[in-house]
Amino acid sequence: MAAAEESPQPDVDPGGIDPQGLRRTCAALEAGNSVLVLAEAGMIGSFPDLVMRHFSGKLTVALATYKGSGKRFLEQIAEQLSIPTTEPKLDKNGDAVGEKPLTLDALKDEIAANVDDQTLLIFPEAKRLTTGIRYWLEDLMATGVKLCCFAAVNPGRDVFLEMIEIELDLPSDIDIRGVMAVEAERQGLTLSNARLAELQPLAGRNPMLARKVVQSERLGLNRAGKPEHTQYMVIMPIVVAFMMAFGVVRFIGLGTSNQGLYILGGSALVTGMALRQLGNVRGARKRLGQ
Amino acid sequence: MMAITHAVIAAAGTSLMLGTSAPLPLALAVVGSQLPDLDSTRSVLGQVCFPLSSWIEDRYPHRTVTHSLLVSVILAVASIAVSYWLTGGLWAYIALPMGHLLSCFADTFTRQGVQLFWPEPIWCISVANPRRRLVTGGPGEYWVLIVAMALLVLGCWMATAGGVTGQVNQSLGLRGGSMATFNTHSNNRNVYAEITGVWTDDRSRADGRYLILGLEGRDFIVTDGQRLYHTGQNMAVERLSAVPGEETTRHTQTLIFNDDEPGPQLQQVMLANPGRQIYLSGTLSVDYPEAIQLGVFGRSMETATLSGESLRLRYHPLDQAILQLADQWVSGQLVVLIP
Repeated sequence: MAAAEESPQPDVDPGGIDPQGLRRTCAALEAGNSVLVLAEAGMIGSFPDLVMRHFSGKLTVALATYKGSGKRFLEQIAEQLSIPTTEPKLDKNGDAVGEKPLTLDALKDEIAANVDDQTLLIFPEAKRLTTGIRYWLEDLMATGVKLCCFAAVNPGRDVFLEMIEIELDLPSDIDIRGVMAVEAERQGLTLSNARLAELQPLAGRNPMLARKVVQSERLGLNRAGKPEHTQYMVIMPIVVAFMMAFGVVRFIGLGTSNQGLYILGGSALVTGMALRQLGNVRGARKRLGQ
Repeated sequence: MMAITHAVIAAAGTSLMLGTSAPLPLALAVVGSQLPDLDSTRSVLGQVCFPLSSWIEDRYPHRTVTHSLLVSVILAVASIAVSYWLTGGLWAYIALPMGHLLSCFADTFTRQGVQLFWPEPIWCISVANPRRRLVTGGPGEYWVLIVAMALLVLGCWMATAGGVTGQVNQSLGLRGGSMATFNTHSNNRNVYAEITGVWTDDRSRADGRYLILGLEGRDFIVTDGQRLYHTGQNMAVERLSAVPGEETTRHTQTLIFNDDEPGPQLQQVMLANPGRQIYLSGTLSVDYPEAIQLGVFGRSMETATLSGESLRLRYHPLDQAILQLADQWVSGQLVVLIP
């Protein structure tokens, strides 16, 4: 915390980024920790760029997203850290005749040899990191390299176990309204506050879904749309529990010799149990071809 | 959900839960059911209260702040306060938060759900599968509306028959429920016993509708207009339902005799209540018991018993007592029941 107070406050993106979460993340990194930032898909947005911007000039920073090629991923890191990604190509006499790209293992070794405790690596899609890269990162962390990873949930293994978890708060409703308004303007749509208020429940507090809902609105798909966010709770078990708890009246009826209460309490109990079973009624679980 | 669906659900739920069909609580429930949609300028209430709904709409998503349990609690506190300070009748006013709560709960069956626990940003839904949730104005909602209307009619009908508990008691013929019905209504209505059973003397059927005069323990004293019967002695009752009947004013008075002639006082009571059946209970000391002719009670209840100079009356008809106590001088007191 002290480090955070000493250093300038990080810039905050107006598009629904949790400023408190950003400050906490920067403070943890400045204190020498590696950090795993947890947030719903679509909520991270420009958060990694803001972290990178905050530490530019103070640390050697690289930001890379794994997109299927381990070599390309490592080359991205190496290029940002100004680490050579090639080596001299030798002919059969041992003379250099050009450059050839380093192999995957050579890139790992080269990067490991050129990073230290003043290096910060930022990975916006931590879940995609392969086992080999995660084990390599473990070695880097041991040498003092700081990692800032982003994921929806903590994978809970190897390198992630050593990281400090910071969970981002949900953006406010006003932030989401702002994101929707900006997206509507981008799409050439005029949405009144009344319509935005009606659409917000479909997006929850997720900026990505907020943009998606506006795009769907432009195509007229929201009438049949359903909420995709995960900020919900199914309350039917609470209702069933309440009905079953009403069964306590049965015992009051027993104690006071009131047959009416006894029967009502018993009926409520049985209704609750019946509702519980009715809740298990389901149709086809998968679509044809799923 | 549509405003009409909210209104009918709230009215039906309130009618069933409070056991009422009175206009005030049902109207308050309907008003309460419209309050959640104050956050939309497109709703009926939102258009009526436009500045307020517009203010809310500019700041909060639909189905959040106004659809919360917090607002239900605030409405409940306000209703209790108003009912306590202004009228003293709590049940009618509690219909307002009840209508609000039912309306919010009904919205949990829709696709978006509601933020019941606002300011916690959790959307509460009742059906996990989004494809099975209701769409506002969709066919599913019209089915809900039809069922709610049926429940409203049922609720109003049950309210006039003593509420859900009363109806269960009536349907099952529970003695405790019948006693409660009698105790609740006997002060201002005639309460009738619909009896299924047999006479204890010859086991012939005694089914019928009898006026209840009073309670003795868990048994009723009933009359068919001619004679009185004790449901525990003269009848073997299989099923007894108490049903409130026409309005009346039931009252009692006490007559005290101190070696007096009872005739004038009893005549006075009869003249003061023309055309009504009047019953006497109590114990009198009579000076000339040999002259008292009690008659034959048969399968009916023994309303008068003579033991030495002591005459004990239990719901004894006044007209008979006047004849039987003529030329007597009595001491003691009688309770006069004018049902």
